[in-house]
Amino acid sequence: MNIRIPIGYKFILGFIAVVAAAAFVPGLVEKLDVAEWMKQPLSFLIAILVGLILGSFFIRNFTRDFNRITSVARRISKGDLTDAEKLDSDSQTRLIKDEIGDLAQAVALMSESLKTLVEQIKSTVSDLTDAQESFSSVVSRGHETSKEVISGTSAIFDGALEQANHVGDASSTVKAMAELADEVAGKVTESANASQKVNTMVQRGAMAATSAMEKMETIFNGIENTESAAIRLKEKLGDIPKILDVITHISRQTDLLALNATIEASKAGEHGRGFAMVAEEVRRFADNTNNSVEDVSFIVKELRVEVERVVASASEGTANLKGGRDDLRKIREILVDITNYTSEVAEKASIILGLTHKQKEKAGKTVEIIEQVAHIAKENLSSTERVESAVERHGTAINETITAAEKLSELSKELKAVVARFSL
Amino acid sequence: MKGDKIIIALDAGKFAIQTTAVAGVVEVEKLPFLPGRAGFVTGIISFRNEPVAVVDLAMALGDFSPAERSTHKVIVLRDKGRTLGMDIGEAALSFLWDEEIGGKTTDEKGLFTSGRIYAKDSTIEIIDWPALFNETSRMLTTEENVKKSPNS
Repeated sequence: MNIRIPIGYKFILGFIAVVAAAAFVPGLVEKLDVAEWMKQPLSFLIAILVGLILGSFFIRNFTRDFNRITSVARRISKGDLTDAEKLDSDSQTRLIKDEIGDLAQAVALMSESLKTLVEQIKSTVSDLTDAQESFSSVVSRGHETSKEVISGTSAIFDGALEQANHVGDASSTVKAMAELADEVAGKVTESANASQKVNTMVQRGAMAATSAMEKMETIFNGIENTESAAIRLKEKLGDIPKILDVITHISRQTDLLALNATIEASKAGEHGRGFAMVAEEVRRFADNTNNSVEDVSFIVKELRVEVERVVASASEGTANLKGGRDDLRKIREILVDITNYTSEVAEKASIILGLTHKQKEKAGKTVEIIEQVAHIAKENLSSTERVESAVERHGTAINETITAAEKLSELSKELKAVVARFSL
Repeated sequence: MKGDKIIIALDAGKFAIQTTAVAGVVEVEKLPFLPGRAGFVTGIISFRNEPVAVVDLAMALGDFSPAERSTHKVIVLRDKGRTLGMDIGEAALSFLWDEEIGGKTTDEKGLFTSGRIYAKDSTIEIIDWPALFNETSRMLTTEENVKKSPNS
């Protein structure tokens, strides 16, 4: 059974004991056999001695526990929690309890709690160290992964950029192809129209050529007739000089006759003047005839030259007639072939025109699809840019996490070192 | 020098002869060969069934340049029963009537020419046909004598 006496009461009891000793000391001294003058100083000394003894007892009683608590507290402060349990056991064994006992119990309890806490902290530090190592490992792997992700994202970005460029190039190429297809369609349309016109013109040309060939056949016949006519004309022209010679001879004879008549008229004197004048006129007539015959002879000569040329030309033309007829026959056959081929070309041009229009439509749709693909590629590129930015931020966060993990590791080590200071 | 004249246009100039001395004009293609011919005597023709000796007038007048002629126009002169042909080649003939002769006529003589007519636009030599007769006769006679007496 423990009695609880607060410290204040102990102080009061001590004070009372000192006062009672001081009060009872003079009566005791009176009873002693000492000189009178010594009784008062002796009483005083005894009273002080009693007071010192009692005071010393109380002080020792008080300070002993305080020193123990202080010593334990100092050891606790140094991490030694081994002696705290004794404070509690001592306080439990005391008969009289006071605030010091409470303090010792509290210190012991605090030490126990601290011990439990330190043990928990140790356990936690151990777990924290393991967790930090795992975390550091994970963060390290995350950092490596982040690097790979950044590298991969960069490669994806480059790929997306290259893809966007390729798609842009492909779009431009396909647009150019579409424009080319459009242009080709226009040209093919023109070509089809032209081939149609050519076909029509060839048909007309064939008809005109056939008509021309028939007329050429007529011309060939005319050339043959011309040759025979020219030969006959040449023969007839050969007769003209003979006639002209006769006329020339007659005119010269007439001239001579007129000359002689004039001479004879001259011999007749004045009477023959009129006859002489007539004879002179006859001479002039004969001279004119002669001149005309000369002119005609000259013309006939030129005409003969021309006729000979005509005959030669007609002969040459006749000689070439056979070749010309063969050529005409070949031209007729070639015209038939050209007409057939032209019709075939026109039909094929129409087919090509239809196919070209279909190709144009397909090219237009292809352009639309390529534009959509280009749009998607641009969006992918933009998304890749965002992903790359996010990955870069993630890398930065990973770096920060690594830094934090390193700090945490240091803190864990420090905490471990701190906890290691405690002896349990 | 009166009377109408026939004007002969030779290359050497114009020459005139009186129409009264002319018996006629003929044209032959070839002159038959005259045996014993000499000088300007070139051949012989038949004029109205009469043989006529022919002289080359241009040669007689001093023009000895050779000339190819396709026809020969011969003026036959007659004087006192004698005939002489003057070959003028293809020269043109015209008449100069007596009343048409203007200008001055002179007696300037030359080789077989007896005068000269100064016409308005040209000068015409008058042929001395009697001298031509005489010279021809002389040449033909001399040739005949040479043939008859080759030793002389």
